[in-house]
Amino acid sequence: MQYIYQGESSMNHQRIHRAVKLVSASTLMLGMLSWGVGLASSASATTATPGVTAKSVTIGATVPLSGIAAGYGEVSAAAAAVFSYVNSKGGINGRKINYLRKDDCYNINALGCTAGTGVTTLSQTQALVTQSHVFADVGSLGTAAQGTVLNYLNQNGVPNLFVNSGSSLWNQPKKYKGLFGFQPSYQAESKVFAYWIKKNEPLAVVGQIGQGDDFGANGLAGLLAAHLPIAKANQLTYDANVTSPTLAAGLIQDISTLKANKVNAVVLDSIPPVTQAILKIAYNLGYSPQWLISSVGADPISVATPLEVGAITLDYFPSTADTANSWNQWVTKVIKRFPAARADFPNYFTGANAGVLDANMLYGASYAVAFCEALKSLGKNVTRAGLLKAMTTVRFATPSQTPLRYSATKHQGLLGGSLAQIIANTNPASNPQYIKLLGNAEYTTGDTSTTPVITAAPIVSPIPGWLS
Amino acid sequence: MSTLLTSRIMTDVFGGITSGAVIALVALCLVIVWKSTNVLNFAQGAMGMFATFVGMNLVFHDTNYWLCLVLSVATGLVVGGLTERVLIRPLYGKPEINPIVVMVGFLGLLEALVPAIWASSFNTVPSPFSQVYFQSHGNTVLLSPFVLYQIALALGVMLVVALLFQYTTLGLKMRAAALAPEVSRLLGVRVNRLLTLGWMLSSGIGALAGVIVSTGHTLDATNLDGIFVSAFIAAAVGGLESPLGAVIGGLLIGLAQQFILNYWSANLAPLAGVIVLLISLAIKPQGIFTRTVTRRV
Repeated sequence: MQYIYQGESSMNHQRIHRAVKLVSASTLMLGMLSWGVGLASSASATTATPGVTAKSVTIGATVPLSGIAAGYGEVSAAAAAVFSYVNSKGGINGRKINYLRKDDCYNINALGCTAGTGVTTLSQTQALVTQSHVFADVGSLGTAAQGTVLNYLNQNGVPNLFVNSGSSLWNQPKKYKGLFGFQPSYQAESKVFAYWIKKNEPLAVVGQIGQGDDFGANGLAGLLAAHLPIAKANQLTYDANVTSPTLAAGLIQDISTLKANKVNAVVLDSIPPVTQAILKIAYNLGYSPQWLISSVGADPISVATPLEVGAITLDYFPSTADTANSWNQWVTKVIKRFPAARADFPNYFTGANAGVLDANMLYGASYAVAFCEALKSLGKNVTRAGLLKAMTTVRFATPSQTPLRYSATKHQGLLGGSLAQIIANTNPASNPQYIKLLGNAEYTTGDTSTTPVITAAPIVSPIPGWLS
Repeated sequence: MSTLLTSRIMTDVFGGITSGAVIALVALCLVIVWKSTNVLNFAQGAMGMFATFVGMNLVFHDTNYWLCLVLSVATGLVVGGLTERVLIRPLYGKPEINPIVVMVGFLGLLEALVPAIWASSFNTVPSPFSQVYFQSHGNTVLLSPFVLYQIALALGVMLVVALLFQYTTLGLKMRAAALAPEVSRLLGVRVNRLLTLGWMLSSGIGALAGVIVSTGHTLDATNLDGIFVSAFIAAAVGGLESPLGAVIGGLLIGLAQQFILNYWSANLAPLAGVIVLLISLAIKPQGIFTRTVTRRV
């Protein structure tokens, strides 16, 4: 009989297997435990309208305050500043707004996340609903992250307003009555990009690099809906859930492919740190196509590289350099006087870009203003049903140059924006202009190939008297 | 020649060697610790990144890159020595699962500690060499001065380790202490010191791997995690006790990842390690570089 002595390695494999089993079993048990706790507390919170008292309305959001997408922390911080400002003037119909921002790390619990072990968008949303008893979820962020809590919020009857993402997931009024998006869909954005390409670079070979979730997929769908011919080989994705060196290895491959295929117009549906990585790798590879960058990944202060200059993007806010714009003045006043913490606006209070508004701040301020307007329209009687009705009837006035309108059949939000070009990435001392709007026009469209791109003049909504 | 250099195959080979060299380096750390103390160090990657943070974070405060690199490695040596003295030494002679559990816990602790100490930022560690790839007749050769630096640093360290173990008295003592601690002790070798030294060496090299991986990228506590998994497989493929096996295993996995990335899908690249492991288990389950011990009963 012959025995083969297999050495330590196979014994160690057994040991590792045992360790892995132990870890997964305990995770499962913890999960079941917390589920049970969740059930118990939600049962006790069904009386009256959750989150509403005679003196206050409590709302919340799950947003990235640390981790890979922490740069978006400014958005909800700007919203919080607006609520503080409104509270300082007595609140809405005598009720102060209590805004709870929970860090969910973009649902990627790694990459610098400090929210705590095991924290997810779902766990933070559950905490808002079962422990803080929020009236509504307002301004939560991220396509993939918020995709994990749609059903939870819907089943618990919690209004889920102004989700910060251009996914068309938020526009399903039949299935999710209480769910509303805010920004134009990525399809609409891509269709406007396609409009620009056809007009300015009609012979361009077009490619796309998209985030490997609905963000990238919807962006691609819009380009294809606009009948732009994009070869399969030039439709590329990246995985946001990996470390920086791993991400770079994949991007080097993708960008080499685009270069080899002689693609000369590339649409990016990426978040700012990835946009930065893509631009740098392309430069290192000696590749310089015309970039068209989704509004959520183009903010020049976040992307922070001069390589972005010349890129086309979509902007649904007034140019932040337009200091005469009444909304820009108003948001500046609010952020200067009512920041929860100056550290919430790392670029605004210190550094080379101090004192310069960016699009993130206008974004956060816009949905906060819209929420205040909806709440005000309810008068004294604040209910969830009333709020949902108000969403489709109120004529919102926000900093956006595109009308924010919802209807019973349309829950997306803004329908388009202006085409713009990045012209600087650092603050030119005298004129802090990073993005230049191309022409005085607004482009609106729908998600499908049957809705055309419509050109109109940008609007400037007057600031409601009770806000100023 | 120039068309060969820019060909798709050579592009993959260069890319594969670049990532493979770092995997090999981390695998080498695992083997050194395993050989000297019979502990599988699950915190290898996190220890390396912790040391990297201590040194390289100063780059953002205008400190010279090379000074930061030296500081990282020095921190790595200290962290490794302390870990062996404080966490591992009390566990010698206890069940072998104990150090594994302790090191998994240490991994969690380090990865939580790093973001608690240093604010997360998307600043990339500046490279001391140009990252612009060489061009040949308008085509890219997937090598840049920076990539050459990464490869040279990784291979250089491996060479130094090989020379140390093979040709120095210290190396001989370390091998003896690992192979037959009792006999070595009888012969006057201070075994405990050498065990500490093994951990220091491994953690110092880990820090260097952290620096290589993080240069040109954002600093993150988890930068070495994926590489650690591949390195673990590389070490296992090599038989866990063969430094040469670990290095070859690491390079193989790097190449496999690159080819899968290019010809299949970026999302499947992490599978490369599993594929290499499967093949090696099918051919020689005890590790390709382990001498098979056959006994007749």
